[in-house]
Amino acid sequence: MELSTERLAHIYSKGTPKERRAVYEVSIDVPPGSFYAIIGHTGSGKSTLIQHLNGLLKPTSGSVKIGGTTIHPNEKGKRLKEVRKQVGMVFQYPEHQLFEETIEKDICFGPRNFDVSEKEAKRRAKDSLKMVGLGEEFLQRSPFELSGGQMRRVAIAGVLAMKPEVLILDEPTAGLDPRGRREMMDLFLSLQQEQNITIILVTHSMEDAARYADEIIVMSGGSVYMEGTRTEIFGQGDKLQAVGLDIPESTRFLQSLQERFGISIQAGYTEDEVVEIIEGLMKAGMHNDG
Amino acid sequence: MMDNVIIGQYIPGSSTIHRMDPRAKLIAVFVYVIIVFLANNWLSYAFLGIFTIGTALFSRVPVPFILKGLKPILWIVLFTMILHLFMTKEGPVLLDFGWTAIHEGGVVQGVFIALRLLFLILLTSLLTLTTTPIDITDGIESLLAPLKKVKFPVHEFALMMSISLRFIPTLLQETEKIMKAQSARGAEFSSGPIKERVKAFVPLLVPLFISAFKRAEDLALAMEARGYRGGEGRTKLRLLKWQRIDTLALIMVGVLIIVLFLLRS
Repeated sequence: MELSTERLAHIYSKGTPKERRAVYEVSIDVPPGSFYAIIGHTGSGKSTLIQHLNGLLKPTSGSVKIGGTTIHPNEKGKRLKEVRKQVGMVFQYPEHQLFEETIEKDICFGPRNFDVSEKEAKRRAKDSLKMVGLGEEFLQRSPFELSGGQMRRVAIAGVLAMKPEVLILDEPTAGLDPRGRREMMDLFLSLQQEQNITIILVTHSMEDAARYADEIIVMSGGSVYMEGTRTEIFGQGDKLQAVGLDIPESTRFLQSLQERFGISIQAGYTEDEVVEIIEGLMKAGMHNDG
Repeated sequence: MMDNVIIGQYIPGSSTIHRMDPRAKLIAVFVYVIIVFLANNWLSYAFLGIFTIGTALFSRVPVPFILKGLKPILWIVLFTMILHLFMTKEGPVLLDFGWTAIHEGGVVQGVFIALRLLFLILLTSLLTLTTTPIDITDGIESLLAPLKKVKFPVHEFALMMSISLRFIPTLLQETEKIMKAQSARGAEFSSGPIKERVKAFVPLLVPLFISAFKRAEDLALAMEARGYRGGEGRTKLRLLKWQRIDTLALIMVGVLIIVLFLLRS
């Protein structure tokens, strides 16, 4: 399913002294099955933008197109719910949304709201719990006796159980340990590659953006500042630094290496790539010595 | 939705009302709430109205913002007005429906009650709009200080108040966040039959309570970690200062009382 916005603008508390323009002139286009990352400084309008993509916020002006549905400024009612069924949204700290007595009931909440039968919802609960790496034995436990990381997984399972075609993730790995982060991100990647689900990831981690995303959107001051592949984005470190962002650690490492030894090294963006490049250099070095 | 609540929302400004001592404002509002009930004829209501609206304009809080804050209580005002319209059987009949009639007394009473409610809300919300929560509690603490003699925990009381005021916006934000998260999972809060709607609030209230308790615990811990031990021997960073304008304001309230008594019939 394709997502796009056309000159989208949103103003909070319009007509009051607290009026604040959060996003303006945002036109983006996310093709089906792609993995997009949205990066930007705190307050750059990322969260406001993504809330338009599943109908939680309505544009002040401009429009949002979600699959076959176009949402205009004075949209109301039913169609928004239909949109939310297709576009799943995982908020920051999603564990704060848990409320049921058992994990099974909590995961079923989403599907049941969209008129999925109880039997089917329970089946999905089991499946999605497995996807996030928790066993069946968790189904009947209370979500409130879990650790923080496990609660996060349950909350994400609750969104996956709705079987959305697009998954929007607002810093899904904030506050997780390194291993948990990696597992979570790999899960999202596999959802994109195996089930062709469109992923839109909002993140502060340049590393994650570099490792996983096909396309990166950089937001600044409420509008799109840069857009392109990771090579296009992270090739312009100065431009990123001007809005308080930076290039990934790995890329910077290769750059220092290049300056220090006065050699030209190809650009790399993830740890794995850096390892590969250095391996190549070392092998080449050995050949030169011999 | 949350934009409509103005109680507890401070609007920064530099008007004379903003700069008044919170104690003076508290006393003035307290007295005002009582004397609103003195007005009982058109002339006294007109005078009260001039005073109230004048104060509101003088505070230089943007008018649309004040009106927006009055909107939520409009229904209560209308309801009481209509109730009075039909229930008060005084004076000559204005409209006769056969099964019921509207008397002149009803119309007058209805308008008076509506004005009374509007004035009350307007002036009390003006207090929170022009005074920071910290100032309000400092003011209350200082005004209640004499009660310490009878072992009333004044400082603790003030602290409790300032904490609850401080957390109103936080909890509202939290509510909005959880509402959005549950809406994203297909929950509906504003449609369907009443029974369904009440049930729909469970997914909102449970997470809200949990986070509120957690917040309270964190706050208690953070206060203890910074050595908080209650009011005994505690000094203040910002001292309240009574100025001429404060005395003047109270004198004006005094004049208002006298005039209302004179105009009363």
